[in-house]
Amino acid sequence: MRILAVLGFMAICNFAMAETVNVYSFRQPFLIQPILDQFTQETGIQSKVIFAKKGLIQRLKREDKLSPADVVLTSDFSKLLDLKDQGLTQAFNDDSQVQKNIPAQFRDEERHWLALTKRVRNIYSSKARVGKLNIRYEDLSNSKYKGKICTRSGKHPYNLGLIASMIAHDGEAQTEQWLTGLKANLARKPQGNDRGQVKAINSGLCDLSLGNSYYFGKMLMDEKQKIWADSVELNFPNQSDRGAHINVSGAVIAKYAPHKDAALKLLNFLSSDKAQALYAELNMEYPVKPGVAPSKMVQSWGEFKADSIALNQVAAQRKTALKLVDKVKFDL
Amino acid sequence: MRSFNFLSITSGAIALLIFAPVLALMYESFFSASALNDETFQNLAQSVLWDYIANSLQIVFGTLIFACLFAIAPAWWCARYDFSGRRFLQWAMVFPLAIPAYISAYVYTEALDYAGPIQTSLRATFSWTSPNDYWFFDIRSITGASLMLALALYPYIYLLLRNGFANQSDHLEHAGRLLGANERRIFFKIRLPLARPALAIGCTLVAMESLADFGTVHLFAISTLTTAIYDSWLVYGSLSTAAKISCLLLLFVLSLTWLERRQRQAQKHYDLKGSHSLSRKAASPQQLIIIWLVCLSIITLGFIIPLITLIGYNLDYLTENLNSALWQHAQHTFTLAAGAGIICTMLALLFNANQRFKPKKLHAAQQNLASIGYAIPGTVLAIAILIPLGAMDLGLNALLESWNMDTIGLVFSGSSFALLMAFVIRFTAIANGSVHSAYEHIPPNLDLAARSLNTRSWDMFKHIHLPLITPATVSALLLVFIECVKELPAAILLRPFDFETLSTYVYQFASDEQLEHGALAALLIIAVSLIPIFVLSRTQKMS
Repeated sequence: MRILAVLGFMAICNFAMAETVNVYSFRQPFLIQPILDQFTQETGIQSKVIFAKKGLIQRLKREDKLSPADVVLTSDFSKLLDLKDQGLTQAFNDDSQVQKNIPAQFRDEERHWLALTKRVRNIYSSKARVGKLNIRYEDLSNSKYKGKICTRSGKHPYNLGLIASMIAHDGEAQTEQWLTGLKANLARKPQGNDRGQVKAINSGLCDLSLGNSYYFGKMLMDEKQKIWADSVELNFPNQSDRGAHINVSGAVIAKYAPHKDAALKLLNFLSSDKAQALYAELNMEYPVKPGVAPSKMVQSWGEFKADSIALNQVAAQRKTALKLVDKVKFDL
Repeated sequence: MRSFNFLSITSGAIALLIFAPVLALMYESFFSASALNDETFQNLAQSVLWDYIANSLQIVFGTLIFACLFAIAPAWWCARYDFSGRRFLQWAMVFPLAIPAYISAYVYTEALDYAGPIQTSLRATFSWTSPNDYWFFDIRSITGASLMLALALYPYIYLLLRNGFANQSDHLEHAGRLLGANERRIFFKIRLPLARPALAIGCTLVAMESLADFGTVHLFAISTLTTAIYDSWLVYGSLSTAAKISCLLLLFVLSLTWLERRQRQAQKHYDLKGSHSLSRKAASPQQLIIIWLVCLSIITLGFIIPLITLIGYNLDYLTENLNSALWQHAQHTFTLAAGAGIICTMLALLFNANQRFKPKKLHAAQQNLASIGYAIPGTVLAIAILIPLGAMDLGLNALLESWNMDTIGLVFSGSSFALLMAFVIRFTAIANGSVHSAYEHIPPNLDLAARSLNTRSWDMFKHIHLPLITPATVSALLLVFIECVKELPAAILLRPFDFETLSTYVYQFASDEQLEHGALAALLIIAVSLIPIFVLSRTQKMS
């Protein structure tokens, strides 16, 4: 009983604290903590973070109007739209800093979500065996790459986003064919994360892999992983046609945010020059705020053409993308 | 007698309470609005569901085979033979229980993967250049996952079986010898069949654990029913599909427990003299070598290699890994696990005593009800718990509002209470299995004798049953404690704000393929899980 009492007390204390902002985060805490610390330093508002890769949306739904969440940070756009579609968000003010900081393309017309950073879905290729490529995503199903491609699970949001964009551009039937071809070209069953695929290229298991841009920078900065990154070229796909697939990380204010003012302050901060620059420096992502430059290293990878299709057009194909991944048994 | 009506009602109520989330789950899967027109489930059923079922079953059977291989012989040796170092070895065999399967899986993947040191040096030695040049065991496979799970789970079978063997008497062996049976025949015809209840419970536990595993199969990218539940709920966003697949999983587990009970019903054996120890034989030098060789290899695979690897990671990243947050996570985990352990054990005693004193079908059903929680994979249980707790929170807050008082937020679903409840629901089955097995060994004659002396039920429990089942009770507490420390999927969804258990903390790094940074926390999990094993080895002298 005593344990229960203590635990109950601890729980109540959690809600009694003043001037805090509660963050539900799909992003790893060690990625965003330095930025949140900066926020606390500037505003005095403490941040509390709960991280989960999956399940936070369902949790928000269950918690309903008693949810302690103020802000939800996501690592891809489909979750931003999911949150809005399920009625779990509220609009931020029309005159907020966010509106001025972020270009219209990267925020919701009804002001329910905003993007914070951009990331490219790149194709990595082995320096030694393949070299720099002018490649399209569509080429990955070409049988000349049989047994040469590595990727993480098809159900990972980053791959789902890519597949959804393929459906939006090429149609469902053609994408299914593409996915079947890609599966046939895999060197191994989809597994691990994006860095793991580069590691596999380095060890000679495969020649090409799909991976987000910022991992390249992160690997170059890691003593142990630098050798992996050094063995690959970073290619921006589809430069001759529609441009490379872009995903975004972003944020919403929870519908029943108990600290709405603090939440808005956090969003304003995250879209400010300072936080955007931090995102660029710490995470090697592309800032969405015009005028904030990517980090020196990211700039050194060169300019590229980005796919300009509207995010919600891609997000609309997400369910179909999932269905296809199961249908061709991509992960099995 | 009145007090035992009270007991019946209490245990009935608790069993129902534990069962409530299962009801919520069933409601969600069959009667909720989204369940009736469930496109996601139809899509899954048409594409990959059968592959998932096949993979799950293969993993269960693979794990059982490996686990039995690891457990049966050492359990017998430790119970039957006397040899130098036996006291250490019989407890060291339990050590792998302290290492969560997904941590071993991570460590072995790093070592055995294509890019790992073993394959790299093989390639260098034989100047192979590509994966097509040679064959190597693929750790990220169903066999690999079964092996990892078996290494982490075999101690369940080992512990139960060793107790089972040690409690057998010599009489039957003497009879066997008189009839001319040799050692091997006696083992397979008398010893092993007699230990079948323990073996069956152990295997059932291992089967349920491997069915519910998520961490290992996820790390190995093997799609099973649990990953299907995760996917349909968290990727497809369809709770009713997740609930339906959970019910399917539940069906598997129920058939399993039913089979186990059915085959056990036919055979009850009691030793009239109640001489509860097997006399030991001195092992011959050859036997000694074999025993040590086999046991040490198992311990090396299941414990020493992962441990040394983690220590190695730590030496590289010690300063980064040492921080005050870690200590706090450790305290949280420890408190919760101890609380859950005590509650589960008390519940197990309550259910079993109740059934012992009033052996009704109803009470047996209560036990079964309370044990179902173990079959529910952590994530689904987390949601199943959030359904009633969320409603309670909403109700309570509405009530407070109507009295013009301040609302108090999510006191049930948003606090550690939800996590504690998840632990209790999941792990009561473990405590129950252990206590139940011990109760089965107490001859009913003892009760009849006590009754004839007009002993009250409580006194009978306190003075007769409890002393006899104390080792099993301590085992129960130990097993639940370790499980809670290691539990991951429920914890990751139910933990309150700013609350990490050691497992969620470690998982955060492992899932990002950077276990190095979580190595210290992983070592803490292992250390904390080892403490009860050491305590147990001191208090529970296996004579």
